[in-house]
Amino acid sequence: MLKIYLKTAYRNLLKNKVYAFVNILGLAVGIAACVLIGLFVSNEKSFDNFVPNADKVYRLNEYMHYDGTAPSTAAIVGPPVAPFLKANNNEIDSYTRVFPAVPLVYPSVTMEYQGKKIKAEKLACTDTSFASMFNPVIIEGERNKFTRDQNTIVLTASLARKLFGNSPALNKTIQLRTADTTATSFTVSNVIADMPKNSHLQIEAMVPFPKEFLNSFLGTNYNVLMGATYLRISNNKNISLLESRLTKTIHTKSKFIDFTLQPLNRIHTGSVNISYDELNYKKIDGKYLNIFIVIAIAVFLIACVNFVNLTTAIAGYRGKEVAVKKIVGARRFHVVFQVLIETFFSVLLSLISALLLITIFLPLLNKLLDRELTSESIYHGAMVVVFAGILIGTTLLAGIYPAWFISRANTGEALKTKVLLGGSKSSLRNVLVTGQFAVAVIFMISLMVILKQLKYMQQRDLGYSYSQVIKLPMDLQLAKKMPVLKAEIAKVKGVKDITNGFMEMGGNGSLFGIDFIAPNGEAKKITVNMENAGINYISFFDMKMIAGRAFNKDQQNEYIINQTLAKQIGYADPVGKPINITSLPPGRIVGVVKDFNYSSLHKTIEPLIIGSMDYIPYWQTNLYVKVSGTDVSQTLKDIQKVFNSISGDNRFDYQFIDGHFNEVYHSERQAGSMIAIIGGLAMLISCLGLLSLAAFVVLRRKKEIGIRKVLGASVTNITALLSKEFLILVFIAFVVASPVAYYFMDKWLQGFAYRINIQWWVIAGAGGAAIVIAFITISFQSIKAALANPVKSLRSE
Amino acid sequence: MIKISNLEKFYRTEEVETIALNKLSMEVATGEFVAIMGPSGCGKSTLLNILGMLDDPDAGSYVFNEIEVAHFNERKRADLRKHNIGFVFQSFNLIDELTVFENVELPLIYTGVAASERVKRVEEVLDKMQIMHRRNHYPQQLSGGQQQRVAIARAVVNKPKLILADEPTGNLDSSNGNDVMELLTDLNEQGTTIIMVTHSEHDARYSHRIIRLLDGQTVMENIMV
Repeated sequence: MLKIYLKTAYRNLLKNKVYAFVNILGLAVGIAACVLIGLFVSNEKSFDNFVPNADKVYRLNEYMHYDGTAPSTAAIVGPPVAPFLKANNNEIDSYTRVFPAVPLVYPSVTMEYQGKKIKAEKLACTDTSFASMFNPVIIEGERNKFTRDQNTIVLTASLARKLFGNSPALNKTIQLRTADTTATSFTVSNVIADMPKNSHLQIEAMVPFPKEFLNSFLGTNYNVLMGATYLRISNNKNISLLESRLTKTIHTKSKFIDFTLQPLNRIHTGSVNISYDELNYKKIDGKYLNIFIVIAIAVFLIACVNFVNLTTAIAGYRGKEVAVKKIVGARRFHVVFQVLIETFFSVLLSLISALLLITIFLPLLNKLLDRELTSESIYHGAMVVVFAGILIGTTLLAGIYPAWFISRANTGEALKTKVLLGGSKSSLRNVLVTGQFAVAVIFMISLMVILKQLKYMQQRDLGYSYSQVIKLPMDLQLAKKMPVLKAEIAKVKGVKDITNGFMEMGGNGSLFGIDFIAPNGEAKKITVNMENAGINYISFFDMKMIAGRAFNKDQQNEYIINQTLAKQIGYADPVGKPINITSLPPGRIVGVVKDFNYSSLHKTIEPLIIGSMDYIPYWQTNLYVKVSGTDVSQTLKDIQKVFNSISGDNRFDYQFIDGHFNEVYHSERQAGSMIAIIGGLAMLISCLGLLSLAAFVVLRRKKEIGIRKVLGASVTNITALLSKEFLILVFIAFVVASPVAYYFMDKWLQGFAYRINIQWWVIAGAGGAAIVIAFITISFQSIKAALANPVKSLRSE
Repeated sequence: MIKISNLEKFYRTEEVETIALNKLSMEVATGEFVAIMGPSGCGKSTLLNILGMLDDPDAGSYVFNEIEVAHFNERKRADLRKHNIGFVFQSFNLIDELTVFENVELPLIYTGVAASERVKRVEEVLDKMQIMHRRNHYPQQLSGGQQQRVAIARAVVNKPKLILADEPTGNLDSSNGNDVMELLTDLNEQGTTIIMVTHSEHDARYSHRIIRLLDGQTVMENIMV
């Protein structure tokens, strides 16, 4: 019995080769898209879950509310904060500080061992509690010696291999060179396995905090923003209460900061609005993860719906077969069982194709999303259960309706007409196709809005020009050589201009306290963003001065402020008024620059003070070089030569600012690409569904079409007649989809301080496109039907 | 074998009610060969569908082998049908995806006959119909006459007591048509009851009795000699 079912299933597939292919491919694409997104989402959700009792570990975030600047939350705090909080709150079991060692503890660090020099990119100062808090796999050394003693260092396996090859690293001594003339010996106390790929912390080496640093001005400063601090707490029942206690504790030291506790497992996905979070490895906006989940489910459902539609449409042609089987003795359950077996067969083929598609497209997904997902993770135990679930679930979901529909057919009727038509209205199928198209239209509108917003952000006049500008990051050693570096690079052919700065364009500003006298005579202290600029900064970036002048040569302690700060200070003409950055010598305002968007377009423009303090190399972290458009690669090579000869090593690392902005809007770009791809697939699958429905309707109206043609209808008449029915469905889909899409995209746009409005023609355009695509799809069937010889269709009656 | 009395069947649309069978009564004895004739729309096909238990009557009684089946549900009808009735159609109604052998085997599968027994019985009946050499061909590779032989083979493989034939020669030329009529006559002589709907007076002459229908009623019965 089973044999004949399988045989019929196989031959049916062969008979309807094209439909079967479309059907299986459609479902395969749906499953593959769903599994790929699932892989990605589960990878993101798995971040930091290797930490023991992760639910009791929180990152201490600082909510800063200084006068003068909009409040914001930072992922980092000052060095004395954690010990102080622990001493005053017994809910804290332990704390671990993970502070970047460069540049605040050490100005710059190169590791040296027997002539090998390695720039320490990810060196952190941390506490011994790191070993118990994050539970790293210790390969060499004793756990209790982890950053315990001064001048010891913990290395990851891959860094140890770079320094020592395959020989053991334990107790070997390396030099940490912090300046040209200064190096300190460190003994390797432990080697640990590399941090897991799903750790938000990616560190290569760890040293204890130097005692002298902890006693220094920075080391004892509660307000300075320096590094991440993690707390393990005894009871996570009432976190907001603990937060307010910690805030109360810190207010005895600084009234400008409050504390919030961020659960460890939310750091990777929940830090999008947190600044000073550069150490958070490949962080992602959890909002997009949820969107991706919805997309995955939508595409899977569309694929299933499509599968049901196509299966039912094909089944329509099987009226005779089913009727004959019933006449010779098949019971209804025989027919149901047969359809289910066939569906199972198709779903199985889809699943196999899906696995193939996943293998093919995983590298592309990794590239798109900047991840290292492997297809191995889909072949482990849990996924086998998932796939079995998909197989059985989809078989039932997609097979039950066609099975019911076919098996209930009236035998005599089916024999006479040879086709099964179900209910005359086939309303379920219409609803399904409308739903499919509604989802596709939502995707299309969303995609158009996202693309327009991205384009808007790229093309918006930020108030400064950065085309053909490259950025070279400096460390303290290099910054000290700034004058010679600038002079030599300026000589390179193709270099048009050169300047330097401190803050990250498109990133966070750096907050500094400033003092000034308000118009009412009151002495005021507020906190604003600060830029330490080269003399020619304003002209370099083509910024507009609206009052006063730009910097002059050799004038110290002159400041340019932006419009926003000028408004806040309150003078009609602030030029010439005294102002100074706290703890620097007194200065005065020489000019007001037109507001420019130095941060990302997610944020409004904040107050900014620009100084030109060449004497503080610490605040010269970026060198900007403007190159001419011709032969850029040669110019870059020449700059590299000059750079390396002055820096004395090989770490020429540059970035075009355009490229940098691409990174700033990375999340949006990713989401845009995902929606484009998945939306395209949804549209494709929906069109397949429509194609099948059109075929079905043509089948149903074959006789009517024949009669109309005999009576003189033209091909155009018939095509219009058949298309109308579907275009109405697509139009309904559009009407349903557009408010939904508008709602979600409007919400998405709220995340940008500078954003487009969703114009009516964007929505109308997406709807129009959907209707045109639908029309073309239907035409394949309707024109064929219209051209068919009516004698044939009438004779079969 | 068959006794129907006051059988009624209506077809309804929203506005019109058409009477297909109007208080029709008739009897068919075991071993008879009956032809049913009449113009298009007289109710022949409806009657055949009811006799074959593919459809149920709206009123009246249908006794098959002394069992009242008019009120049977589909499942009971299907059970009774598959063990007792074979069908032969004008358009053969073979399943295109199955070979000659598999088409004939199908009724045996549904009645739960063991595989080895099935092979034996299918081969036997194919041999009898002289299409053994075509056993692995698909229906569309056969001539009309051969297809109808396969259809008859399929109808008789379960050794039914009754064969219902709906215009069995309608799609065949006269030579193939005569062959088919000979086959049916042979089957009848071996004891199978046959009820045949036909337009052909020639074919009807093979039967023992002709029942003529008009507007869902019997108008005349001719006994053949």
